[in-house]
Amino acid sequence: MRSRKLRPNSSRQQVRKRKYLESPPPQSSKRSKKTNQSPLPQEIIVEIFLNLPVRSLLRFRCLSKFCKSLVANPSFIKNHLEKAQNDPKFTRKRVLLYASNAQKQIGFKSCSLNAIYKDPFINSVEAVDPSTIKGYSLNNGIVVGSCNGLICLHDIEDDNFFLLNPTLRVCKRLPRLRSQKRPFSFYRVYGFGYDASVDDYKVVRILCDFCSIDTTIVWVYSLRTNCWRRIQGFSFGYLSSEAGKYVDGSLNWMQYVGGSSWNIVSFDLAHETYKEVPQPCCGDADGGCVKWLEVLDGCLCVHCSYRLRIDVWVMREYGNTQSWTKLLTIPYLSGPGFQVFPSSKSLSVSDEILLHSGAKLILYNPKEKTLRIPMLDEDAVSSISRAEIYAESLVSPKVINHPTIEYY
Amino acid sequence: MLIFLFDRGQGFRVRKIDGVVDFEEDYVAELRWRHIRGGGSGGGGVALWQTIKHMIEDGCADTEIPLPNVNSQTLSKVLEYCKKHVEAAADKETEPEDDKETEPEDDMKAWDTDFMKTVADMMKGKSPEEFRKTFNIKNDYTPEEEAEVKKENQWAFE
Repeated sequence: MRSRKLRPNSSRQQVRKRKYLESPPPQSSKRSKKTNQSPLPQEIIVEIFLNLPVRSLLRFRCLSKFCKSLVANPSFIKNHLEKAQNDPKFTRKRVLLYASNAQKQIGFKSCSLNAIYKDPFINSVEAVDPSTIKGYSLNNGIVVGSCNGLICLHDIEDDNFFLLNPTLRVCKRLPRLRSQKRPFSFYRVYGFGYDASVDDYKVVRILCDFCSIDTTIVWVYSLRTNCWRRIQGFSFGYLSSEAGKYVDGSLNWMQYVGGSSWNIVSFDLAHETYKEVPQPCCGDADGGCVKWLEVLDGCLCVHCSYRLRIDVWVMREYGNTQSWTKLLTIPYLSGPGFQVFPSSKSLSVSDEILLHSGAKLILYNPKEKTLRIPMLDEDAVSSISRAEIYAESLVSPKVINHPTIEYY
Repeated sequence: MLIFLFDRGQGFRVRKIDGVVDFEEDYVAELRWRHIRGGGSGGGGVALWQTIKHMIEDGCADTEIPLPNVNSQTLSKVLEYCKKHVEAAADKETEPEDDKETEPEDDMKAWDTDFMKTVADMMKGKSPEEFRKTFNIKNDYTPEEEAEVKKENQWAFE
């Protein structure tokens, strides 16, 4: 095809009258004029909107009343989120970093997951701190979990919980849970997830006692009711203090049951029941291993850390023992200024697996057995203490959906 | 700018929206419509496609073609798009109820999905005014209401 510049549109008026578009039948000349001005069918707007990033959608809310209501429509929000979650190139996924900058100030930042994989140098790091969004201050923040674009943060010092959608720049502080003073032997474990059965987000807080496996005190916060409620505890063993991993409507923790054995215990967010999840047969070679849970691509993973490597097992179909597969093995390689530590967390996987190891992000390619470092702006992010993947979504922690209304 | 619509009953229709293609990159928003299958107007579509094709082949594209500021490359993309849909419709007509029917159907779907992505990518950096002009969207807000809505997400405009 030849490529050429067309004439500027100054003569559009004249051009429009040319022969090729004279085809509309004469009687429709009036109608065709009307057609020119008739708005674009709504279903086409929906199609376009589903493919737009959140920021553009927020801008395009002001196009018309329909556009504004579309962007707030629960079933549109759901479909839009699914697109973000299923994009193999991660263009609508981001990494939340709790990181300190060159001046040693710590805060939440975010950068594009797609850029981490693709760009040699990632300079678009955004601050997404609740303090910049809402004036909330976090003294010692931890990330409890991320689900559907919402991130649950916990300030350990003040014992405050926040639900943050960094993409929408909306943050909600949850009501405080007044708890009695507990003996020193108590420790807290958290989790955050989505209960699809009632379209609700829940935060779980478990008080465990080192001295007794029978004493667990479990509280559940529901976004829909905006209150905490105590539920039945459980007594299987000692939970690891890592936040629960959200997979398929349930939260999962590692649980120490004595000797060198660990279980996976899962909490069903809809039924509020506990059960044990079968583990992979990863063997106990090399004199045992340390295990912990991760989520990759929406699947539950067990990391088995041995003396020289980490094996990553993935449960392709949640609850199905047969679906445990060894995904890859990560050796403890190192390079100038970075190293894969035995405690590395994995964040995301495609051809390369994204690890958070030490204070850095590392990409490991299991086929080539090579490491590389995504180059983040050192001034903004010099040391990363926590990292979490989230999808860009329109889900707001401040809006409670009512039974779904279809948008067209 | 042209928008191609494929409507049940009316077949292949071109909607022209004027005065808009002023952005740096040339583009045409070409939109499919899924109703093409079931509408019995594949022939009309082919004719239109050929008309446009001839225009380009004749070399009219640089001066005469009623598509302001659209380059041939973009147009060829549109044509590819039209052709795909028209062919799919023709296939359907020649071979109704076939077992293999699902295959081109899925193929079309994938193509359409990809296509909507392209359109969205073109639009994502635009201002609401540009979007409105491009797609001829009627603003049913009063200026005060519009300002209010804009204010709610001021940062998205920065």
